Amino acid sequence: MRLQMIFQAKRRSFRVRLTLLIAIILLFVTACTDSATNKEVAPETVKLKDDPHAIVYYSTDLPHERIGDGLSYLFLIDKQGKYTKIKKRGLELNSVIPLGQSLLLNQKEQMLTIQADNNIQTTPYKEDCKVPAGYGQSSGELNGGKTYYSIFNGRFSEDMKYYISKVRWGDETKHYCKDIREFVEATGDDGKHIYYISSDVEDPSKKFFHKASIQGDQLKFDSKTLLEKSKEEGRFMFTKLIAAGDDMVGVYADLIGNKVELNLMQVAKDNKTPFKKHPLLQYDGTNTKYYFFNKESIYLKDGQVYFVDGYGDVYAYNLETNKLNKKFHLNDYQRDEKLQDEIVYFYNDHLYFYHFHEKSKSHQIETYNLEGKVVNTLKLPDLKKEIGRDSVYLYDFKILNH
Amino acid sequence: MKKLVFLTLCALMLIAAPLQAAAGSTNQQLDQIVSLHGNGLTKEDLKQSITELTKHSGLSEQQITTQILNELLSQPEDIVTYGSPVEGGTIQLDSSAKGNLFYQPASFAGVEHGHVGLYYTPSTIVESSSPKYGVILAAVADRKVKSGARIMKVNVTSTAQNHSATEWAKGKVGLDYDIQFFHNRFCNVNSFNCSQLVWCAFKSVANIDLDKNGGLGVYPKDIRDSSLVTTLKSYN
Repeated sequence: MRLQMIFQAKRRSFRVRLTLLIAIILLFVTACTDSATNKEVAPETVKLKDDPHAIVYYSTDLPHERIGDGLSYLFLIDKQGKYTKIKKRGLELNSVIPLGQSLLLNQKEQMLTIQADNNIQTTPYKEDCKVPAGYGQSSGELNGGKTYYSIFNGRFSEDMKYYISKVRWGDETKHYCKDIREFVEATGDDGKHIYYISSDVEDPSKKFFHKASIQGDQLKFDSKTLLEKSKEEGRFMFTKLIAAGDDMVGVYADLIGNKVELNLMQVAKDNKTPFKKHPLLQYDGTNTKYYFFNKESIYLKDGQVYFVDGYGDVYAYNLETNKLNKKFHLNDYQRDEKLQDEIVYFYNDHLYFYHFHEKSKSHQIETYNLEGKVVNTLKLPDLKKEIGRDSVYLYDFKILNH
Repeated sequence: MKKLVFLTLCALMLIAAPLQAAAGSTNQQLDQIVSLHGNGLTKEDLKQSITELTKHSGLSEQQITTQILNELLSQPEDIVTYGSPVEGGTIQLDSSAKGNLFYQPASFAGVEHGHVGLYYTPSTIVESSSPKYGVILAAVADRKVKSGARIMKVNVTSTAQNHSATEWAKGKVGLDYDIQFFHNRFCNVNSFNCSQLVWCAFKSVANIDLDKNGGLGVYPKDIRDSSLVTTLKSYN
């Protein structure tokens, strides 16, 4: 009996120690598993349903970033309105760059390449290539679509003698960067060279016209010439610069008291002659409804420069006859104080209008021909839900194929 | 021997448990920040940002985590009405004269701290933008704001002083963004948050204090609500 009691006591003691031992083992295994998981970085894959027809990019803006966070949503939308959402870090005023079979998305500290095989490759940048924000659709492709470029808004230099912007460029596998010592107001290209307009830091009324070129890993500043010393109180460069033969053209507004003059700027690529200023329209300057939706709201077709103003009116300016013609108004659209994600894109002789349709409470993409006929409306009813409560702004919209 | 093994295992457990508890405490703080943030901030994002902030601020990760959380808890003035621009639209910021101010709602960790800056020209603004990138210029046409934003002017300074204040602000490079809003009334420094920049501009140029309630720190709303500031336009 006594032996039996001793045996049972020893068995209980053994069970207690075994239980404690198992608990300790579990504790350490859990801690080690967490560490191991943090070290593993699985390659990222997105499941695209079809080749994307359109992309839409939303991001946090800088004032909402307190600790350098921010997030972005990139939607890849097919022709049936189905989409894939890619959620990443934010970059204000960013734009997506189609390059070959891939889509490039700049992040503050890295480049994302969304490949045709649905993988996302990440290329980190060194410290001197990091960027805080874009300039608003300030990206493009050169050299037959083999080279991309993006221009970013940086900061003042320490000695205050100049402003720092940054150019990133490269191809699908190689990426470079370099500083531009300018505050950039408008950008564009003709497929071979990058053109941009800057304002002087000491005297912002002085505008300069720049031409740059990319050769492999080299960014060459070809020329910087004085464009004008503007006498107006304020100037808004509303569109990108696009090529029109030997010239670059863009739409801008000058503030004169309570009035606004909208003009088309026609600058010779070598800027050896004074630029031509073509008056377009006048607006009431006591409100902001005339502000254009986005920088890529300009297009050239058969010598006519098409543009869309903030009221949703589509115009064409004939560069030969110097005549302005209102072509049409965006269907059922009324400019309001509060914007509803309005953004436009010209592609293949069509105008695409992405916006939140207030009546149907749904985002949609409307397709117009250049005469104003609506050829398609693609509804995206669930897109709003994907963003939910996040405070993000719409910065880019592109059509990738017709 | 068996007793020695058992005691060793118990000792290890006693050491591991507090470490786990400390990590749990930090994890709880991170979870609390993430749960209140409402801007899609993930825990991993937060951890990464805190790590990066340590390099700029010289504070430890624990100090920064605690500071972010304390700042959140110490300013319960307004609770952010979550309504993203996608739901409620956005409002285009207007142009205004050089030297005027703008205030815009900007929330972090669930509390609307706000954001202020100055008009550099009628079509560009100068502001201390973000933790890493300091003082920048931005185009007015690219700035969308929400209800509650304002355009303001200082009502005790001359036009020349307003211009000088803007030039002063333009001349300050934020090498590091100062996350310490609660103790930022310093101007001979190399780091500025947004309200500190605006406050210092007018303090240095015109020796006026735009801080509504004084104290150690000047927040965007302290400038917005100052009696020395007049609202020119409100966005509703």
